Amino acid sequence: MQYPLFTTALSGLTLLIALSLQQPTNAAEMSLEVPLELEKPSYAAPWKRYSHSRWKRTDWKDFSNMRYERSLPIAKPHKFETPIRGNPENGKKLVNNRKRGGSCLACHIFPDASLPGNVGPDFSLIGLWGRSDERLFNYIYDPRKFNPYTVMPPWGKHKLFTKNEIKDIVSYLKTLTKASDFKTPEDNPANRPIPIETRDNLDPFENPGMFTMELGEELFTTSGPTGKSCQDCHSDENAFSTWAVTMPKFETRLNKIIGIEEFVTRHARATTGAEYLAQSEQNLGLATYLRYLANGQIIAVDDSDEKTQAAIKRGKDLTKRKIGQLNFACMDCHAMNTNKWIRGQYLVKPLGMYDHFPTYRTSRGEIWDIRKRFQWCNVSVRANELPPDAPEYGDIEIYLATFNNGRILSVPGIRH
Amino acid sequence: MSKIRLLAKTKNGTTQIKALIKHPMRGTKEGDSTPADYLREIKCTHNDKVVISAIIGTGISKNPYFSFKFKGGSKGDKLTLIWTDNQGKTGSKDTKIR
Repeated sequence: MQYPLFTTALSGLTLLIALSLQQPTNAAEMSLEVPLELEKPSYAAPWKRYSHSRWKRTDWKDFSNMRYERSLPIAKPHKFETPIRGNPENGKKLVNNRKRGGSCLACHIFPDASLPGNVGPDFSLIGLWGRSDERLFNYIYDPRKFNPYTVMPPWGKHKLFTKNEIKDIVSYLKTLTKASDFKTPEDNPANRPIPIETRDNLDPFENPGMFTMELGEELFTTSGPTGKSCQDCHSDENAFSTWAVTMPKFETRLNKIIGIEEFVTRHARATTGAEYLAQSEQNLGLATYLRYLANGQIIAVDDSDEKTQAAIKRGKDLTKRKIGQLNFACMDCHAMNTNKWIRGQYLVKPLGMYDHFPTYRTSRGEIWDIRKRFQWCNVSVRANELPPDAPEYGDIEIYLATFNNGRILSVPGIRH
Repeated sequence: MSKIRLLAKTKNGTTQIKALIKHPMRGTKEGDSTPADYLREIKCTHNDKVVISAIIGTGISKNPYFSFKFKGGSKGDKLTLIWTDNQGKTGSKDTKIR
């Protein structure tokens, strides 16, 4: 009677081996059998920066971005034999000028400032600090010489202010010798109420992003040029109940991390024949809908294989890279200076940054996916952005996603 | 493409209306040749009788939300929201009071 039992065990073993052979890639990676179009870019090529709203047009090719490092060497300190005699009135104007990289008030408290930030020290009494004119000049020109961990931009070296303008600023700083009170309690960043998002992002009357989700739902059942629709293959009602919380993934054929948005473009090209280019309304619609189906699930991106781990490491390193004319790294604001203010904007931790994308931005009246958010961060620090499907953004996305593992997905989000 | 989301609920003789209109609400901007496209008027009728009419303009946000109440209205009544934009286009949506 032992013989048949042995056969059962043997056949079970064979089945196990067969199953493991069927899956050539690690579970953390995208299966090679998923039909994807692999040749064309997933966006309208060549990539062009958005021209609407507040997207600046400047080309910052002389400064580092997420693809290349071009940081200028640290400036040698300037020597001054005599005290600096600039125009303090012009200095005050420059300190308040928001067009030169956000104004000094963004990070420092000045007398009479409205909503100053508190990332840097309070300058209300800097005139009494006993700093020499030369030191103040050189610190503004390029602070990296004095403090290698500084988050302050090299204002002179990166050509945000001319030498004469910095002299004017120094002269203004020297006049700050009298204590002054804040005009309103909110002007003091220590008392400013922390913004908390209380809107119900899944209320269709509260969040216009729900229109986008509904467009995706509609497209899911719409036939493409090949006569097939998404639903023809994905007919199981629960097919996407957890899929979105396992994305993004490493895609071996493309040799990079692929996010839901790019996946939608490439998979649709290979199956229904529809063209859902990155950042198009349709692409956002499907990307939002596919996440909506997994709402309430815990984000659980698998990082168990080497390639994913390597991507996470690359992503983490990229978040430390100083980029743009303003010379900021992601971590400068979102790790070293969280819970502080940049003018009226509150800096948050990376935890909770990921689980609500694509998010409807009420300040823009648009729904943004995570890649557009990255692009906006890049342009804000005056660095050239990359196309939405850039491998570098994939690395940052998976770093952010695994960092947010355990959070609950709730899409579409709503934010200022 | 404009879409309207419309909800009307009656309680204790008062009908509450909520409306969200998908619309760019775009004014003119210097250096931008895109033509203005914004809602000029929204109107709401209850059984074909106007209960509210509002003249609006570019000061209203993109994808605007409106909420208002009127006395009367009972379950099953026909309620219509109509908008007209600056280019003369119109759109509307019907619903039944719940």
